[in-house]
Amino acid sequence: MNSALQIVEKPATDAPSGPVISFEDVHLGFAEGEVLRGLSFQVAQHETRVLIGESGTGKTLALKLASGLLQPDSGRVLFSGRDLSRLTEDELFDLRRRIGFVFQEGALFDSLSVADNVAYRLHEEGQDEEKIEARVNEVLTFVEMSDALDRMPSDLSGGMRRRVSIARALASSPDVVFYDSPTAGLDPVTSQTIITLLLRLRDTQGVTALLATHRLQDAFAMANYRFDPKSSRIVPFTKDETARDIGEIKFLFLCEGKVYFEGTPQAVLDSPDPYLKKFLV
Amino acid sequence: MATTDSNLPPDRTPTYGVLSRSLMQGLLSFQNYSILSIRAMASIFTPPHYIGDLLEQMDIIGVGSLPVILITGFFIGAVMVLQTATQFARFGQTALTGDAVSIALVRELGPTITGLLVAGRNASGMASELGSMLVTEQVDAMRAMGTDPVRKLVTPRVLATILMLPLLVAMSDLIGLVGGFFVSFLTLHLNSVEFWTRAINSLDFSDLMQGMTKPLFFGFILSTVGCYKGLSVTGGTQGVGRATTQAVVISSVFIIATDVVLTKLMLFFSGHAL
Repeated sequence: MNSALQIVEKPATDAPSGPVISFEDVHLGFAEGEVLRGLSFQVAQHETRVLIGESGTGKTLALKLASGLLQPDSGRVLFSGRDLSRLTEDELFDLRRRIGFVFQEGALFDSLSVADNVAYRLHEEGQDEEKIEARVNEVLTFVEMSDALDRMPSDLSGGMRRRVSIARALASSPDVVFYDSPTAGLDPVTSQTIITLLLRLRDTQGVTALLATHRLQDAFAMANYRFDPKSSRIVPFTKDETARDIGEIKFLFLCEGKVYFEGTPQAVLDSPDPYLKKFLV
Repeated sequence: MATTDSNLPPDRTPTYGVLSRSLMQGLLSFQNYSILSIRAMASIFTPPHYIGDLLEQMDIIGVGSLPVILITGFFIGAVMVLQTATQFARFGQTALTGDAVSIALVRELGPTITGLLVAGRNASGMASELGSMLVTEQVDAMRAMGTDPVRKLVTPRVLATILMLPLLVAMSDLIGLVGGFFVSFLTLHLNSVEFWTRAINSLDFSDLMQGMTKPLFFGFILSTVGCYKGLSVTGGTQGVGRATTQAVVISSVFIIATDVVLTKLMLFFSGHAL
C-alpha cells in the first residue's frame, strides 16, 4: 500500500497570508426561500474545517459558494483573498484548478472509465500521457482502487464511487479540498474507510479542507485521530499532538442558514444546547 | 373565505399576475437560451477545442441517424410518387412524376423531415443526457475541475449537428429519389432514363442551395434547444423526462416555423417569390 502521495509544491504567490476561505455575511436564496442567512466563517491554511448541520441547512451550498459554482445574493466569499463574485467565469475556471471537490454521490462521469475519470483534469491540462498514467496509478493506489482502472462507474458500489471521487479530486494535487457529505448513505465500515482516507490526506498532504457532514462521528474522527504513516494505521491523537500538528480543530454547526455554534469538540460535548445534543444522540 | 380579488386594480388581478409571470418566465428562458447559443457558437473560434468530443458527436448524430433517415427517406419518396402519380395520370402526364418528387424532396421534404427525425432522435438524446449529468452533479463536477461545460458539452453537439445534418439531408434526398424511382418503375412503368433525367434536370442551383441551407439552421435549432433543455432541468429524474419531451416539441415547432421564413426568403432571393 502506497500511503505517501507526492506533494506538489505550489508557487509562493499561491500561498495566502490570511485565511484561504472567508465567508462574510453571505445570503443566498431560491424561489422556495432564503437558505443562507448571513453565513460568516473562515478557514485557515492547512486547516480542516467541519461544517455540521441537518439536511437543508446550506452545507452543500456553502461548499459550492466556496468554489464559485454559485454566487451569493449578498455578502462576499473570498478565496485566497479574491472576491469570487468579482471574477469572470474564465477566471473562476482557472481558480477551480486549485480545488478538489468530492461530491456527495461522487458525480463521476458515467461515460468515462475509472482511470479516465481520475485523469480528467490532467488531460484537460494537456499533461504528458506517461505522467498522467503514473499519477492515476498513484492516486488510485492511495484510495486502494488500483485494480479498478478499467471499470465503469456504473459497476462500482457507493463506497467505491466515493473513493474514486476522492482520487479524482486529488489527481492534480489541489491546495484545497471540499468534501460534501462523503459518508452519507454508506454503511459504517465503508464510512470508516472514507474517513481513514480523509485523515491520510490531511496528515500526509496537509491540504486545506472543508468537510460538510451531518454525522458528528465523522467530525470527531477528524478531531481525535491521525494517520500514522509508519504503521499505515489510524491512531488516536494526544492533546499535545493535536495542537502541535494540525492546530485546534473547530466544529461549525449550521442552523437555518447561519452559524449556530462554533467551537472545539470538547465545547460541543460540554454544551447543554438541545440542537447540539441532537447530533450527539 | 372572503376574497378581495374584485377590488384589486386591473393590473393586480390574479389573471394578470399569472400572465405577467408566464411572460417574464418566457422572456427569461429566451434570454438564457440566447446566451447559451451565443456562448456555444463563440467557443468554436477560441481554444481549447474538444475535437474528440466533436468526432464522437458527429458519429452519434450522423452515422447513428443514417439508418432511420435512409428508411424514412425511401418510403417518403415512394409515397410521393404514389400521391402525385394519381393526379398526373388524370392529365396523362405521369412523366412529370420525377420532376415533382425531385423538387419536393430537395427543396422541402428532405430538409424538413430529416430535421424533424434528427430532432426526435438527437434533441431528445441531448436533453436527457445533459439533464442526467446535471441532476447527478456531473456538470458541477466538470465546472469544479475548471472545464467550461458549454465548451465541452454544448459546442461539440451544436457543431456536429450543423455539420452532419446537410449530409443526412443529401442522403435522404438521394434515397427518396431511389424510392420514388422504385415505385415509378413498378406502378407507372417509367424507365430509369426517363425518371432520372427529368428528376435531375428539373433541379437548378437555387433548389440545391435551398435544400442544403435549411439543414444548417435546423441543426442549430435542434441542437441548441436540446442542450438548453438538458442544462436547465429542474426536479430530478422526473424533470429529465419533462425536458426530453419539451426538447422534441419545441425544436420541432421551431424547425417548421423557421422553414416557412427560410422558404419565403430563399424564394425571394432566387427570384421565384410570388
